[in-house]
Amino acid sequence: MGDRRTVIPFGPQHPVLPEPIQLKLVLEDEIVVEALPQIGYIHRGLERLVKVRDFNQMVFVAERICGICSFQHAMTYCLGIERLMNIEVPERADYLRVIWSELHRVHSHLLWLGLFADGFGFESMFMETWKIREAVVDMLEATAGSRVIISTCQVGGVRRDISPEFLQQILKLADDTERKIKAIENSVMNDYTVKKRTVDIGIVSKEQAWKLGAAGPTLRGSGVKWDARMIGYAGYKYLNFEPVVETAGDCYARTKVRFREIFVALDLLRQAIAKIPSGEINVKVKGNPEGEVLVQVEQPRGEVTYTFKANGTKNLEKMHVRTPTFANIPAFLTMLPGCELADVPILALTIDPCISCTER
Amino acid sequence: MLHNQTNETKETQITIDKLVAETQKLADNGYRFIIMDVFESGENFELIYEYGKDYDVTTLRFTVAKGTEIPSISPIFFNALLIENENQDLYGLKYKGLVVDFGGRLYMAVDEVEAPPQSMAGINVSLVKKWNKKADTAKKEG
Repeated sequence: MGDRRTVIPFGPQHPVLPEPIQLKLVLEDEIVVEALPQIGYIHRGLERLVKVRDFNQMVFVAERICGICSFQHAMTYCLGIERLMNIEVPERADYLRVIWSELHRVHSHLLWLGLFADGFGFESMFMETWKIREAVVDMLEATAGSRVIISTCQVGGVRRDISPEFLQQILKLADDTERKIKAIENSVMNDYTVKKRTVDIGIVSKEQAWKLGAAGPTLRGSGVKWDARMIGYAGYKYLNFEPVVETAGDCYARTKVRFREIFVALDLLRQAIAKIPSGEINVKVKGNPEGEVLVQVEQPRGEVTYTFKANGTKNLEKMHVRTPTFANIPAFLTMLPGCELADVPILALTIDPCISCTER
Repeated sequence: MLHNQTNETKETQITIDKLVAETQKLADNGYRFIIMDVFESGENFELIYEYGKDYDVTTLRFTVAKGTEIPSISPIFFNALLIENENQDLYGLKYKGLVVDFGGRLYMAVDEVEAPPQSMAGINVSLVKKWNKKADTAKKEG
C-alpha cells in the first residue's frame, strides 16, 4: 500500500472546526504526506469597505473581523490611524486598552482550551474552562456593555472608562481565575492522554517557525522569543513582562505557552490596575489621516499586522490586514506531513485557527 | 512606510529584477517576510514587501506596469504563497515561480461561480453608495 496515495478532504465542516476551511490531505496509509488548504468559504472583503466607510466608522468594521479578539482588531486599527495623524492618546486610555486587551486574551485562551479539550473527548475540561471563561466575558459586559464586540476603542482613545469599583472587581476576577486555572493546569498538562496526543507531535523547529512567519503561541512554542507587546504600544510600555517561550515546538509546547500566557495576562491586568492614572480617556480628532503605516499588535493567536494608505480624505485609500491564523497556515502545512490522520484535528487546534480572521 | 515599532523607517526602492536577490539577501540576514501590499495607480501597480527581524521592519518597494509577471518570493519565504495567491485573486496579478499556484482560485473552489471577489466587492460598493444616497434623501425629506 506504500505507493498508493489517497486524498481525504478535511473540512470544510468538521467537528473541531467551528468555521469552514478545507485541507486536502494526501495520505499514504494513515500518514499524511502532503496538505493543501482551500480557503474562501466565508471571505467577506471587509478591507474593501474603506472605500465607503470613513476612517472613524471603519473602527467598527475592523473589530468585526473577529469576535474573539475584536478589541485588539479595533485597537490595531486605531493605533495605525493615530500614528498617521500624530495623535497622542491620553495615558489612562493606554491603560484601559491594555485591560480590555488582556481580558480578551484570557477569554480567548480559555475558549481555545475548551475547544482543545473537546477535540480529544475531554468533555468535563471543556465545560470547566468555558465556565471560567464565562466570568471573564461577564466582566467585559459589565465594563463595556457587550460580551463579544465591545466597541470601546476609538481613534484618539477609548469611548468608555472603567470605574474604580469595577477595577477592583477585575482584580478579584484575576485572583479567582488564576486559582481556578492552577487547579486544572495539573489535570491537563500531566494527563496521560493529553501527553500521548501532543508530545513530539507536529514539531516545528525554531528556525522553521521564524522563517515560515508563524505567530503567537505557535511561534513562541518553538522557542522564538518574539511578542509584539514588547514593541510597547498602548500601555505595555509602562508594564513589565517577559514573553512566554517553550522550546519543544510540538503540540504540547504550544498548549503550555497558552496556559502560561493566561497567568502573564492576569499579571498584566494587576499591573495595569495598580498603575492606571486618572485623567481624560480620549482626545478630539481633527483632520484626516495621510500617509502609509504598518502596525503590529499581539492578539491571543499571535501578532496581527495592519497596513494603511491614506490620502488626506475621510476615506482611507487602502487597508490590509494579515491575521495570525493567516500567518500560521504555512507553519501548519509544514507540521502536517509525517503525522497520522488521527492527529490532524489536534494539530489544527494547536494553532488555534480563526477562520473569520483569515477570511476578513 | 511608518510603523509602530520605531520612528526609523528602512525602505529601499528597487526594480522588479532585484526583488528575488534582495529578498534572498534579507533571508540570509535572518529576516522573515511579514506582509505585502499592492496599490493600484493608473496603469501601474506599486508593490510593497515588508520584512521583519527582531522588532525592526524593512521595506522593499517597486512599481510595475499592469500585466507584468512578477517573480514569486515563495521559494524563499514559503509563507508568501498565500498573499501572492490572494493578490492573483484580488488584483489579477500574475506570479511566476509560485510554490503552490491556485491560479486565481485561492478564495474560490474550481466549481464555484466565475466572478472574482474584486468585482463582487465592486458591486457591493455601488450598492452601499446607492443605499446611502437613498437614506440621505429620505433624511432630507424628513
